[in-house]
Amino acid sequence: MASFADLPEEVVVEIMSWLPPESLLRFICVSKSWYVLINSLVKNTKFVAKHLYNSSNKSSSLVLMCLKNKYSKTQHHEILTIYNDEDNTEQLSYAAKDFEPHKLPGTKFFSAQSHCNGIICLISNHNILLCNPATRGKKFLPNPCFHRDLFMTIRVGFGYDSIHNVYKVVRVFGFFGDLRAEVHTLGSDTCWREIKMEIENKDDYYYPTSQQVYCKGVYYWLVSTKYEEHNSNQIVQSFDIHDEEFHSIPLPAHFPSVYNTVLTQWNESSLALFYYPKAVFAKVPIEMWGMNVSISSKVCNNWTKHLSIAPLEGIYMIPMAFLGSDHEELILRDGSLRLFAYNLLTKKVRSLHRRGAIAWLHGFGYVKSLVQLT
Amino acid sequence: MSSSSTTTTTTRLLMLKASDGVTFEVEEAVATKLGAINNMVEEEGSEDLICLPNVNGKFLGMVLEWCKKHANNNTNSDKGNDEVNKWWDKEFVMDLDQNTLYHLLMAADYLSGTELVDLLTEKVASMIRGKKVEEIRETFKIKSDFLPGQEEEIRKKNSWAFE
Repeated sequence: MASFADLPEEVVVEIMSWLPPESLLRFICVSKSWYVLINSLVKNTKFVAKHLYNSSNKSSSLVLMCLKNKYSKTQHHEILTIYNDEDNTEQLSYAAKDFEPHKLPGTKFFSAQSHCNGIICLISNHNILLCNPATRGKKFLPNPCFHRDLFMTIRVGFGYDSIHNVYKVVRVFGFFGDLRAEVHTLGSDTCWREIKMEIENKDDYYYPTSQQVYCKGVYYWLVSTKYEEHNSNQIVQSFDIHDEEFHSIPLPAHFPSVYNTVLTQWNESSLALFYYPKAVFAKVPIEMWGMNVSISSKVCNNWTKHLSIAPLEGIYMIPMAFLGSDHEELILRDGSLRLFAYNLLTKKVRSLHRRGAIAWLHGFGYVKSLVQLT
Repeated sequence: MSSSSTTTTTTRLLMLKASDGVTFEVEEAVATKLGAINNMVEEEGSEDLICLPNVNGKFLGMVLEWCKKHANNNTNSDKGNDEVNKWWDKEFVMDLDQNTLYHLLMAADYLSGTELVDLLTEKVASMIRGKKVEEIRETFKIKSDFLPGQEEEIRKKNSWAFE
């Protein structure tokens, strides 16, 4: 009879690389040898990278931001871990956990916009907090150089530079009618440094948006220019984490103005852009475009139309994020903030019954990792 | 010419001999899915009989069965085959008991079958994911060797992981 104890350590390490961070950190008290092994693994960058790779291919989580009710002023974060139970064709099973990174005096709320390798960047005006909810690691960044009220934060991006193996935060802020940018490198900078921001028509890029995503060394924001109801012009602005350069990517040509837009990560190397109809045009299909960003990230603009999603069971839905390893299931929410998963291949819809009423919802896909904040 | 082969080139056959003397005749393309055998073939070149004193015939047979499926399904790599492989992998690990699972894992590790090690280690992980510490000890027959009080202290430090 073979038992677990017969397995060589390298195999045990492989097994551990498939465990969610919470399980792994709980198992340190299985025995002395597990305690020693796990404590050394979570500090081993090679293991952390392998674990992240395995998680990216398997786990399915969403970070949700919601208001518990219309009158509540505090934003509530929640992490929803969705279990891919392929045999249950009707419903998605999930676990929900409140996510309260930190409460700072004087800040109404920290708003989470996206994540990179399991680290979530939260912003409250000039305060920037990075945290890894899976390991409970957190780090407040030093105050930006231009942090007085005059210099309003327009947008913040957080990502990984794989060439220098560092994480960086970029902050775009308003400077007397102009746009400027500064960068903080984790682990090496003690403060921020201003970088050149060479983009055309800076005046047009003032309008912040909640649609943003990190993908393959580049941060992307969907920004509105010339904000007018019938002539809203949007572009994707990108920031290369390594080169520290900004670029503009136009949206696919000819999209009808009856649509709203969602930008999200599709798979490891592609972005997805959705146009979904405004509520009054609920019969219009949702359109999805994809863009592969692995081909020289410099200036890519190769949107290709991927599919149209006909109104699902007559319910008005808004796309949110992709789920799981195959990136074939798309999470959508309906007008009542109920969540659904739509399989792009089989066109089947599964629902997610979430308890408790909420008044507002924004969310993005998230991968749990062991990445440490240094 | 073997009947399952669709290529026109003649396929070389290797003889693999397990620890208990059981031998398997397999196509080179199948056996070289295993890194260790691939290395032996490249190094030794002409030798057709490979002895594997660390693997028992029963488990070598299962490992080779897995290799055969993956070698056949990989000949033309489209998305459909990916699906077939995935489905087949799921079936392969579904009803394995712990004894078989560990023997297979040790065999796959010894033979450097990286993809198979991935499949099997993930299966073991799925058995313990989200479980309590006591359940892990029971599943894997591990005895706690902490001194009295030590475990409580560790738990206290990471109390959130035990919620």
